[in-house]
Order: sequence, then structure tokens, then C-alpha cells
Amino acid sequence: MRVLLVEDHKPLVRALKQGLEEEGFAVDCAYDGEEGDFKARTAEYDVIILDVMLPKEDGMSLLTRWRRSGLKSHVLMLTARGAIEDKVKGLDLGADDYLTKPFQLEELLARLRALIRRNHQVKDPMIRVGDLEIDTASRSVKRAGHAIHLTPREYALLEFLAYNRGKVVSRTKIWDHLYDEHDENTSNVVDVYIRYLRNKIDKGFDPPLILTRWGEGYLLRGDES
Amino acid sequence: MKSIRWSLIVYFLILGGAALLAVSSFAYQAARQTVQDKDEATEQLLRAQFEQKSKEVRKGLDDELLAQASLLHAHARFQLNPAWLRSSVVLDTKRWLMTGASLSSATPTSSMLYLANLTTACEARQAESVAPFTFDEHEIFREGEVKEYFQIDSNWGDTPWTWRSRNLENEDKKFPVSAEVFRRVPSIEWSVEDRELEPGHKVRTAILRTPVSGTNFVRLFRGVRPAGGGPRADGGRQPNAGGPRGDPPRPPVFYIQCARETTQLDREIARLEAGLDNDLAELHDGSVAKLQSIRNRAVIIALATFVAMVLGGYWLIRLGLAPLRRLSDAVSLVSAKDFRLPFHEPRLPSELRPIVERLVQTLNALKRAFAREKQAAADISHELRTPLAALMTTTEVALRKPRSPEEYRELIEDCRATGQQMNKLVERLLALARLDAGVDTLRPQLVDVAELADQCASLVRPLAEAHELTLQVHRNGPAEISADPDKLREVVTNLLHNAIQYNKPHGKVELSVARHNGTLELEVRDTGIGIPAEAREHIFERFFRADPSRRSDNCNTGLGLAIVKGYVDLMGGNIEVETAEGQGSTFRVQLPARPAA
Repeated sequence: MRVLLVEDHKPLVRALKQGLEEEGFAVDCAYDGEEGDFKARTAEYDVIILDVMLPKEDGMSLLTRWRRSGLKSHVLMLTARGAIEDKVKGLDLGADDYLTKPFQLEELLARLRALIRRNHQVKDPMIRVGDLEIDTASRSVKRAGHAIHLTPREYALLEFLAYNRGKVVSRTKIWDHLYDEHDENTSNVVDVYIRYLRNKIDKGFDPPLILTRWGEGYLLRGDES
Repeated sequence: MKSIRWSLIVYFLILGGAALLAVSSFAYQAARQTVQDKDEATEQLLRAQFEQKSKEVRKGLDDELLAQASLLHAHARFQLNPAWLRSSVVLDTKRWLMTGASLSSATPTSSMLYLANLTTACEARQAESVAPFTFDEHEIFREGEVKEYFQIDSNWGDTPWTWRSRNLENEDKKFPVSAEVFRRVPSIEWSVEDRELEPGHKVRTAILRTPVSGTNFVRLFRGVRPAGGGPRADGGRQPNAGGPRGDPPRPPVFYIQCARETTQLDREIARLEAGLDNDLAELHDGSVAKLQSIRNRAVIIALATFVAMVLGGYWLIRLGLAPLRRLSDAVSLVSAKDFRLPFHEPRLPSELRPIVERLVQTLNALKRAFAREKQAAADISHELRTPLAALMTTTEVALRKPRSPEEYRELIEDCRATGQQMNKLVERLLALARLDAGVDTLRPQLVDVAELADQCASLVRPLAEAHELTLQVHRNGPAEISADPDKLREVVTNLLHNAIQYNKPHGKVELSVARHNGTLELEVRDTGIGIPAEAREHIFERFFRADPSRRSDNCNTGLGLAIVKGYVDLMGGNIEVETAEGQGSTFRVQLPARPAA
């Protein structure tokens, strides 16, 4: 999942980026309102983490403009101002969630996950496809009762396919959602990770869930049958 | 507690009361004067009337007496035979004419003849005796308690005689009469006098002195010139007493006196007097009563007016002070939340206007101050929470999974940096809090500012070099003043840090110390990005950052200059800045330099 972090406090950005990446998120950073606005409009993010006190343009004003121009990405507002008025204002302006600093990292991660579920209109944190069980909360995967260990990147890819199951996802789309702006786009990185995933999920199990649609992309088998 | 309203009312009543008193006493005086004048006039009138009346009464009496006397006179003349009189007179006259003279031949014969005839007739008559005068008193006498006395004296006949009224005879009284009264009288002489019949017995007397006959006998014999001439030797009523023949015979004279006792008159006068006194007394009483009533009325009116003043004054003053009361009510409604004065009056009384304006100004200033406080509190909480969040997240990330020692080290170093930043912020906040609370005390010592400047410069030099800036210190000789070295160091270091931070690459920072007559001047000049005009007046405010984008690079808390200004002010100095956007800034600190020992 790709996340845009708009925050000006560099130590915090560093720490958060590391924390999120270790959870498998692809993280882009913007250090002021102008940069944040630019990045928000040019790439598709699953969630935008937006600080309120920003140089050049503050978060509330950014949010208002985004929503007025139809930006649909989820926005989680992050700020040191914990007063009720600020929370209410932020939520009323179009934020999807609001978290005050200092916060526990765990809470931030859980809220992100919830927002991502909302993205795909999924209510159950548990995704079941055939005998594949994906617990999005704990980020654990089981197939036919066997626990499968995946690297964060692999998990992210699986989760993405699972959220879009039954639909073909192009390589580009996969790339956009799983890699941050700084990652080099070599076209077979996706293929490589698909292969890694297949090795762990499909090998030794039946039926194969990760399917290829030549010329279009990949998909995870849905519940059509 | 004194109340304006009551003081006003009391003063108003005192003033009003005094005015009322003055006016009413003046009015009363005026009224009294008028009444008195009127009384005087009336009194004069009454007296005049009395005079008039008594004069009339007296005159009445006198007129009556005169009338009586005239009547008496007429009777006397009537009684006394004029023919007889004429004969007597003729004879006398002839005698007189003939004495010592012989008829002149110039005398017309007819007169002589007449005279001769007349003489004969008269001589014949003369033989008769003079009939005494009789008169019935009742003709003129009135019955009454008042006694009337009549007396006629005459020298007609051989000897003067007197006729008295009966009461005079009875009492044997007589009016004294001197021979003088028989002197010649050409016509009637009359007068009315007070006479004393006896000593102590006053009567009012009308006196008539008339000739017995009106005929002028001498003229009768106008043409007759007596013979002889020259004065005669003997005087008296003799021919030639005076003039060529002596005095011509004088016609006899009546001397009539009609007298009346004045008792009735006196009574009348007394009655009139009593009447006058009575009237005067009435007048006096009347005016006293009038004055009394005026006074009473005045008192009542004054009292009523006073009461009206009390009530009216109270009400009016209440009305007048109503805006004040409304203002006071409005003030008590001002809430700490709102700072709004609920006082809307389209036409403010001019006394209240400055108060209300000032109040509103003050409330607005308070509101702004509170808003600033709130903002500052929000800023502080934000400033502290962000590094705190960074700290927490860093540690959480570190502990999420097992890591290599290098990773741990890196994360821990991040924590340290954040901690340091927080520390700096806390220090600055505390410094400001101390300045605010006024607990900062100066510990002045003799400080060589040039030396101190050198020290600060050498401390920041590495930082300057890291930013590729040149740092220069200008000083000419020692500059010793009495100051607090710690605070001064803080000020200089802070300014130097700013100069370094806001500088352009390969720029310059200059620190100069100079001493002018009573002040020590410290200048920090940089070739940095300068400060835009609109930010210039705010740079010494707390949490103000001219360029917010530089905020979290480093430890730019927005408090540095606020502290610098606070310390400079505490040391009794002054700080100003010269700057232009894009052209660098010069911060100038001036401190009082007490003459070095």
C-alpha cells in the first residue's frame, strides 16, 4: 500500500517512514504544504497522512482544496493540536481519521489498515479465498491451515491482489501501489515478486490462486465459483 | 460608601434650599415693604382726612359763630336808630366843622342850608335819651349744653357801653375790651379767635368790628372847609388833634363778640381722633395680619417647592445617572469568555464616552492578549508534542523487531537529537516564563564586552565554518561595563546563531563592539536573506517565524529573539534591527555603560 506522509518535522518523518516501510507500506514524503499538494495530485495513494501545522500551506486548507477538487484518497490527519474543535474541524473538512501526537505507532498502523479496508469496501479484516486465509490485522497468511511466512513486500503484494480479487490488476497499478517514488521501476520487479509469491502461496497447494492474464496483468482468483 | 446619586441629591437640595430661602426672604421683604408703603400712604390719607374733617368741624363752628355775630350786628344796626345816629353824627360833625372856624364863603349855600336844617332837627332829637340796645337772645341762641356768650361793645353815645348776653350777666363775667377796639374802622373787620373768658376758660369767639353806620360823614361835608388852621393845643377827640382841624369825628364802632364753649367741638374732635386711632389701629392690625398670611403662604410654598425639589431632584438625578447605571450593569455582564461589553447606546453622554471607549479598547486588548496566550499555549504544546511524537515513534520502531547494533545506534542517536531539541525548547520556554514572572534577577559584574564577544565568536566559529561562512569580530580596545555576563552571552550567541542560520552560502557574519559616550553598542551583521518589511515588527514576538518553512530543520523555535529582547530590556538596554529582504540584517544592541571604575 502506498502512503503519502506530509509532515515537516524531519526526525518524526524519518522514524515513521522506517516504521511504515517495515510494515510493508511504500512511503512518499512531503515536507511542506506545497510539496504535499503536488505529490497528492500526481500519484495515487491509498492513504495520505497529513500534518496540520505545515509551512507554506497548512493541512486544513490543503484538505479543503483537495476535497473540493474531488480527490478521493483517504486522509488521516496528524497533529499536535488535540482540542475538540480542531478534531471536529478536521473531520468536517473531509478527513477520514484524526490522530493526535504523540501517538503509538501501533494505533497509527491499525487505523491505516482500517482505511485501506474501507478503500476496498471490505469489512472483515480476514480475507478468505478458497483455503487461503489472510489476516490483514496481524498480517499473517495461512493456506489449508498452514501458516505461510511472507516478507513485507510479498505480503503487501498478496494483500493488494486479495483486496482486488477477481479483478485483473496491471503491473503498473501494482507498481504504483507498492513502491514509493524513489524505487527504481524495472518492469520485471513485479514479475519477480509474483514469482516469489507463487512459490509460497500456490506451490504445493491447489488450486492456484495467483493467475496471469497475458497482456493485462495478474489477479487473485475470486469467489466466482 | 458614598454614592454619587446621594451626594448629588444632597448638594442639589442644599443649593436649592439656599436659593429658595434667598428668593422667598427677598420676596417676603419686598412684600413687606409694599405693605408698609401702602400702610404709610393709607395712614397719611387717614390723617389728612382727619385733619380735613376737624378743620371742617372747626370751620363749621367758626362759620356759625360768624353768622351769629353778623346777625347780632344786623340787629344792632337795626335797633339803633339810624336817623338818631345820623343826627348825633351830624351834630358832632358840625361841631367839629364849626370849631375854630367859620364857614368859608366857598361853601355852597344849599349845603349850608341843608346843614342848618339838619342841625336843628338833630338838636331836637338829641334831647331824647339814647335807648339802650336790647336784643332777644333766642333769636340766635340755641338751646344746648354748649354755653354761648354774646357781647357787644360800642362807643356810640356819650360813653362806651356794653351789652352782654344773659349768662354772662348771670355769671358776672365780661369779655375784656380795650379802648383800642373803638379806633376807626373803615368797614367790617372780623376774626375768629380763642379767647379766655377767665383764666382757664377757653371759648371760641367770633369778633366783628364794624362801624355803626356805613355812611362816611366827612365826605358828606366835602365841600365844607373849616375855618382856622393850625393845630390846637389839646389832644383827644378834639378838633385839631391831628390835621388842620384835628381828627374828624369818628363814627362809632360796634365791637361784637360771639363766643361758644368748645366742649362739643372738642368732643367732636376727640371723636374724630378716636376714629382716626381706631382706623390706624385697624390698618396696623390688618397689615400685620396680611404680612402674617404672606409669610405663612411663603413658608407653605417654600416647603411645597422643597418637597417637589426633593422628589423631582431625586427622579431627575436618577434619570441623569441612568446611563451610568446601565454602563455599570453592562460592565458586570462582561464575561471572561467574551470580552464584549453589551452596551449599545446611540447617543452616549459625553462624560461616559471616553470611559466606554477606553473600556472597549481595554477589553479588546485583553481579548487579543488572551487569544495570544491561547495561541502561545497551543504553539507550545505543538512545539513539544511533535518532537515527543518523533521520540516515541523512533523508540517504537527500534523495539519492533530485533535489529543490528548499528541500527539501534542510529535510532538511539535520533532519539538523542530529538531530546536535545526538546531540551532547548524547554530551556527557552523556561527562560521566557522566568522573564514573565519577573523572577529573573541580574547579577551585574564588571564585564569586558569585547572579551565576551571574542569568546562567543570562537564558540560558534565551527558552526559558521560548517555553513561556509566567514565570521569576523571588530573591537577597538576593551569595553568594560557593568552587566550580567550570562545573559549577555546568551544574547550574543543567539544573535550569532541567527546570523549563521539565515545566511547565504559564502556569506559573512560580523560582530562589532563599540563604546560611545554613555552606551555600549553591539552589532551583529549578516549577509543573509533579510527580513521582509511586514515581518519586521513581529520578529521579537514569541513563536514568530518569518519563514515558517525553516522551522524543523534545526532548533528554530521562534523564541530566540523573544528571549534576546527580554534580556536586553531587563538590562536596561535597547535592541533594533536594520534589514531589507534579500540584503541581510543588522541587529544592534545598545546597553547603558556606567562609567567603568
